[in-house]
Amino acid sequence: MGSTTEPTQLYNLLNNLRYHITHDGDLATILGYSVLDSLMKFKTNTGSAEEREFEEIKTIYSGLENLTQKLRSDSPFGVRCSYIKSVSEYLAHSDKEEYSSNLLQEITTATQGSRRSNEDQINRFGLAIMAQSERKGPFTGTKNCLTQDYQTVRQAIKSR
Amino acid sequence: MADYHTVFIPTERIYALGGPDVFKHLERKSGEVKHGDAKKNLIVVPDAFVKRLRETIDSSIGVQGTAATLEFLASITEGERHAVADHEIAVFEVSPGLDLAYVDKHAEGSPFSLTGVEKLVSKIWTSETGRTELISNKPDQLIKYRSRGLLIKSPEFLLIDKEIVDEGMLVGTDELLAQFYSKGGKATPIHVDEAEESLGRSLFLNQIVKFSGQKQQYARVEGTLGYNKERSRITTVDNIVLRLFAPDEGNSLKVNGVTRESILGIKPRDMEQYIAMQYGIFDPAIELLFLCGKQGSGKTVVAYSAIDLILDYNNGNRPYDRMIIFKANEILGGKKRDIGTVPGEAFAKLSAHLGSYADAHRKTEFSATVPFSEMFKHPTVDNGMGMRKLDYTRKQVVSGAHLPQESEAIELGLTGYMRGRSFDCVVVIADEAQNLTPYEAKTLIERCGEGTKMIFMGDPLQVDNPDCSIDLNGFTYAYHHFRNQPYVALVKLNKSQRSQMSEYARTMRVFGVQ
Repeated sequence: MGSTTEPTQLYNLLNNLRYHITHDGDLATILGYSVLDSLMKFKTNTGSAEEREFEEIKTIYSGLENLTQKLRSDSPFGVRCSYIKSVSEYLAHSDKEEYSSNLLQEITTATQGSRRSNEDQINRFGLAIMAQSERKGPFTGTKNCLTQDYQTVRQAIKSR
Repeated sequence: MADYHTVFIPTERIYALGGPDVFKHLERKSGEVKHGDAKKNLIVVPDAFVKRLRETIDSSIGVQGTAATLEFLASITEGERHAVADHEIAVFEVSPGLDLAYVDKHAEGSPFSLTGVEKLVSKIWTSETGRTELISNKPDQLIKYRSRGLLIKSPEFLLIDKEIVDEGMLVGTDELLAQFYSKGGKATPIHVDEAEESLGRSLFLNQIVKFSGQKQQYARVEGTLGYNKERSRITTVDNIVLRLFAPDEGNSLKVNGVTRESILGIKPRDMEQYIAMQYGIFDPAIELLFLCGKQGSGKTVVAYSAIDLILDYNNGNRPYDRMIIFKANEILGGKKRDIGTVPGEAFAKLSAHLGSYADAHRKTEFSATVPFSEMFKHPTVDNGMGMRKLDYTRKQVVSGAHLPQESEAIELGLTGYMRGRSFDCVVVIADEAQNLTPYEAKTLIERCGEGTKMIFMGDPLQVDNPDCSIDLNGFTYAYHHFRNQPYVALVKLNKSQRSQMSEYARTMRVFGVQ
């Protein structure tokens, strides 16, 4: 779906997901879970701050591409269930974790401070990413996409 | 001790947005004053701003906040005046927590410079916060004055977190869902305190909680409403619970105790549309419904179903006289909201802006019987839209129902023409409410008399009014104020009803094509 010459970016990945999930609220929840799940698995050896950020966002891209693949054969509910256990367990013990991802550290810090349920917070996180992405629109240039999308996710965390 | 706690200079557009309430927001509240602190804040109003406010009114129609602010300023300057020595500045008391300094044009310098006024004011008065605070919602002003080293902020008292539009439907948890069945057998309502504990947040009446699952389930915060003798006010709300919808709820609507598959042919296409209709438009306890969603979510069709409420089903016994559709009239004349000259018949000019309602009318059962244009015509006099043909008044539009016999079915209202009006026993649709300023939203709602139902409709993420933004607009501001009232509901339509072609068209770039 979409042009093969365009760089991978959140805006297009979210539009692809909308083919499978037409309800924004449901999409937001599964998006939030996918981003968290991707960042939980993130590992890097790079010392450069910029490279690290790029790799984090590429991990998120990869997770969303996998999500789109899964939705071709499984229901949104089924796919969501596949994330819940691992993400819930992670959030329950996140204060003991060492963070390989700066974004993940920021998300878990924001989550720990709230009495609201994880599901609610993940949903709102997803909604914030969708709103930011929609507002900014698509970008050009691979490096620009990576930078802008990283900021989109960061801004979505900070808006919590 | 400093002269004042904080000295403010709001730019003139802030008054257009917030009206005289700006003064209330900026006054020092007695609870904030600590021992030894200055008791008051100061608002500085240069003559140039008053002139610009005046020009705004002269050149456009019904700028509600601006006109009200000028009237307020005039009333303040009737009070005792204190001249500031050696400067052409007069100080008046607004309240025990606020003074107003009017800077005459001879003092502000020529040409007018806000930087110059800020310098002058900072020389005359000291403030505990250290610096005079400019207030503006314009990004260009924020950039300009910050780069000059001035302290300038957004009007935080007018900003509302855009996420508030998601408050109408909350995400439930599996644990909470299980609590409905804790007594075994069928689901029983949960006391609101237990639900709040489980969700980790407070709940308002009429909020919906959605539970994801193989089959999605929904619950609603409900209570037993107590009314005054005239049944015009809700006075008490008891037994507040979270009630889980029955498994078959959503398959049909219940209106006045009668089950209906659709309303005049308009059938809800998903649960959110069902909730908007059943627990918003057709719930007599809901007087103010906030209905939001992006383009293509079905807002207009759902809102238009309220036309059923004004049809004459029982020889004149109707809850509402007519529907009034309010449009922000900048669509009719650009930024200045000037309707301009109306060539030819009024409806012909205005109908171009009612396309979405005409489309909604076509979805009704009576669109083949009654043309959309006839809905705007009065049965006995020419109301500017023409006079309704006798045939349409006499015949039934649907089984057992006629168009109103004594009024037009729909009136088109323009936000520039609100002054002096009040609405009794009507259904008001405030369309594109995200383009209303907070003060306009307040003014519109204030005009609702008894027996009126208002549907505040909009997409807060699509703001066109240059004075508003997604954080500062009439829709979110009004909902924030009303959200905990028992007669209020918020429904956000999240599902796009458009084709995949339409969805993909959103991603088209209209410039920069490679």
